[in-house]
Amino acid sequence: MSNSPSSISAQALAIHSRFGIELAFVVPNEEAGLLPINSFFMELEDLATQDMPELLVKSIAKGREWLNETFEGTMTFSQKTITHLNEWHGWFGEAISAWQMSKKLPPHPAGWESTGSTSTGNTDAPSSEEAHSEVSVEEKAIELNLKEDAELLHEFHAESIDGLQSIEQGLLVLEDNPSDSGTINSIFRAFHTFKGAAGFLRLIALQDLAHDLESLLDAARQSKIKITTPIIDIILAGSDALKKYTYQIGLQLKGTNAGSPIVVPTSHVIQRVRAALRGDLPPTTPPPPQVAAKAPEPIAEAPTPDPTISAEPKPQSPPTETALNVISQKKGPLNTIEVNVTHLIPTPTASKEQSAVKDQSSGFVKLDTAKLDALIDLVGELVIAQSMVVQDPSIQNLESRNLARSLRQLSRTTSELQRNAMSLRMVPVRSAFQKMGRLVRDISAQQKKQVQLVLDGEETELDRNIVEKLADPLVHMIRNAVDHGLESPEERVANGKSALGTVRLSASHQRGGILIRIQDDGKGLNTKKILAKGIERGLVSPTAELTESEIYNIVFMPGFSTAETITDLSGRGVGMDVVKRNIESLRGKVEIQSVLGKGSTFTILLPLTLAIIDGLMVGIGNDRYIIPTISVRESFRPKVGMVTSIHERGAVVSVRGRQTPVLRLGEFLGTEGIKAKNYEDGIIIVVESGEDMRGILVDELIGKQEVVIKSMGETFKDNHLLAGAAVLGDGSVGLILDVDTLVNL
Amino acid sequence: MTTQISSDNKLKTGRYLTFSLGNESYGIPVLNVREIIRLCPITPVPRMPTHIKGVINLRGTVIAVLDLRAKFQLALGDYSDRACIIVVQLNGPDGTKTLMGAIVDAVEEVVQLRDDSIEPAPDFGGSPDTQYIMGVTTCTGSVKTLLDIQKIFLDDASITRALPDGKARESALLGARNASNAAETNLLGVGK
Repeated sequence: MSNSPSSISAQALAIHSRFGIELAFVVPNEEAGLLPINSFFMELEDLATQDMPELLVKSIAKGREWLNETFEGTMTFSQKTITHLNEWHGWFGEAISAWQMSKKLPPHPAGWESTGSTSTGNTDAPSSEEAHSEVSVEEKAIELNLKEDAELLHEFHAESIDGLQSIEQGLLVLEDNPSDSGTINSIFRAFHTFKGAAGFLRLIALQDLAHDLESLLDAARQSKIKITTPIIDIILAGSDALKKYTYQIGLQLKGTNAGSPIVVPTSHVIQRVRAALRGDLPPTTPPPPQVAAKAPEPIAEAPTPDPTISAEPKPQSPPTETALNVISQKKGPLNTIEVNVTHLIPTPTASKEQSAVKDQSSGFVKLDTAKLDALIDLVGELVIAQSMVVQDPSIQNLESRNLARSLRQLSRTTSELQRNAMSLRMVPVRSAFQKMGRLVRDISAQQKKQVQLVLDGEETELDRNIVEKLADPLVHMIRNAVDHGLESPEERVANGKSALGTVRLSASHQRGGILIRIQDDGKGLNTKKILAKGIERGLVSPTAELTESEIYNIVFMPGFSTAETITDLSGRGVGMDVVKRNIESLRGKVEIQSVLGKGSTFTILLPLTLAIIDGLMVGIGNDRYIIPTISVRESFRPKVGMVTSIHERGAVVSVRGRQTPVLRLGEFLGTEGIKAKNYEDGIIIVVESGEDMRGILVDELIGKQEVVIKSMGETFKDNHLLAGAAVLGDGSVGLILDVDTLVNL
Repeated sequence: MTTQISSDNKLKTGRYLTFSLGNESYGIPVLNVREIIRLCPITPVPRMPTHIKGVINLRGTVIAVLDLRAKFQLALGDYSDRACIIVVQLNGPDGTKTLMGAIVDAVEEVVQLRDDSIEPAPDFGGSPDTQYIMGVTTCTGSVKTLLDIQKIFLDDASITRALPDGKARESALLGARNASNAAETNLLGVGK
């Protein structure tokens, strides 16, 4: 779970409530409850090392002091300590809720000597002299009233991120279709909303800029000016400036530089907007680099979620980037559970008629991701508890038809609940894909290449965490495709291709996972060059005879970069090896196909979710293991003579005409009580890793099961045979085998 | 953590949870004890040293379980129904917290010890190894060995890949590798 303030406060609150229960059982002059209370303080002390208001940290230290007195004294609670602890419990609860609402924490109760009670929450505005000293004459600074407007600012921040992203998407649509009045309208309205909200919060500089941009769009709306590329550039520069403000606001909400004035150079943009409005030819120079180049970056660094949890019905909006994922509660009868996660921003192409602004208000609930994760974890626990009850022998011995019916209903409801909870995690890859539009636009402009980006299958759903982590590898691969893959227009025409290069980014379901393809119609990978480079860098031996795909894989080796000229965009040492590592950390795979002169395709195969895998449960002796279904090619019971032994120890089996080595898993793992002494008595499961396959002999197939992957912790981190563990239906732990290790033994 | 048992054997005064292993009695600082649970089915993990018994499900978290008898090379035997798992929290050098379980034969009591009642670990000149021992103390009529749990567990929290301990495993591995080479040769042969 993330360690954002809101998650820390939520954890602290959970401990607080368990603490309360334990405290109720504490009796004077008895020891009962001492260990649990000690353990609660240990948990709180862990939390206190993270971001927590000082007053809370002090109170925990105070509690620890009382507890230590008890430990060193009679080992039983004195009446005084109990009174203290009760007082502490009451105060702590209030303080946490105050912290969550970003309010001032209540002072420590009297009698807690030696604890300072002067410090307040960490979001106080500093003195106003400081605030005025840095304001430049030209650029208006904004100052946030963090104390009073915290909630509004949080909301404004989250909405601005959404709004600016949809503005950017809309602009890219306009670039292809400048006369699309629906999109012009929606961008106009987005700026209008922005202006209104900024005005309400007295953020004058933002309001002014949004106002000018709005006027520009208004003029376009009334066909007074034509949308041209320079105009789009101006609007993009403007929205970048607004983004920069938004990012700074986000930082201050987190507590960084809280209260200091925010200055973003906007006068240049405003001048250009006004010039454009007057009908002057817009200057063709690119927007000021410090605004254009830096602004997208802050957006990528997601600010932390806000620490406020509001009891009001109004949706609270954590200003994280993940806040883009919202939950839509379909309007319908209240007794049906129909909660979908969907993406807030409409596809510009799909819903041109709908305004982006309007979409934000219809039937969505924004939710802190920490709460969502906690819910999903709890549902997982519930499912396990349910199956423990159902499988309990004493319950199974009861012959009550009524009970059986109730249990069936319970099973149905829990599995439905689980399915729904899991679907909450799933979001379309759209958000990751759409960011690439801007990237391609910027690179192609810089490199003077003509590139069209074609997106396909953006509605394909993936685990939210994967979509987030996919963004970086995608940026890198798209950059590579445009930068290295595609040729210059002249070169393309000379080779008989159209001057316009195409990069196609697509997503689709395949083999229980998601396939993402980045395809370009550029010059393709030059195996000779790659090999020469690989040898030069000492990555491969000069005498090695490599297949085509092995040569392509050199690209993924650390220290390899094919760029002949180091450009601003690529060739900075962060190479494809990082991409590969990132994807593998998501338990995915990446492969390359390429035809010289025709183009390259990078294929990424990802699991649907990080949390759950579809597993094949196999039995060997008394042990059970889980093999991820995604790696299983087939399984069969071998007939006599199908398996050929070699040197009486090794064995191969023919799988679709390929002799595949067979591993006797039971013997390999040292399992006791193996039943399949002969190959014919067991089952061979053919697993694959990349292009390699291996047959694995097990005693029996127990079944298919979706399991929630749990980390096994430090102790087993070097045991590469295991990919993780899972809690099974009976509450015991099942081990998940790492197929890549088994295949590459 | 304000009160931490550091591994350089200072700060010995405090409360200790004592437990038995075979006929011997041991103690660990109470501040590191998260909870005590009944012995439950443990999933064995292959290719780990014998004292790593496996993993259990502690309310949704998977934690490793050590057999302290095996760890100290005491005689192994069946666990009685008084056996239980002590769950301890360890503080890694980089500030990470790890939960681990230790199987003991029986939990005895919580005792208060003062620094002056604790004697340093005796030196046996090699065997048994005393690096895990913080000291010994005499209380409630018996000698108790105080263990430095940070040392015992952190050792195992970052254990390196276990060596295969049976020839069967090795030959299974070799066999597979030979077979794989053989398969390639075979394929080439067919190709030609």
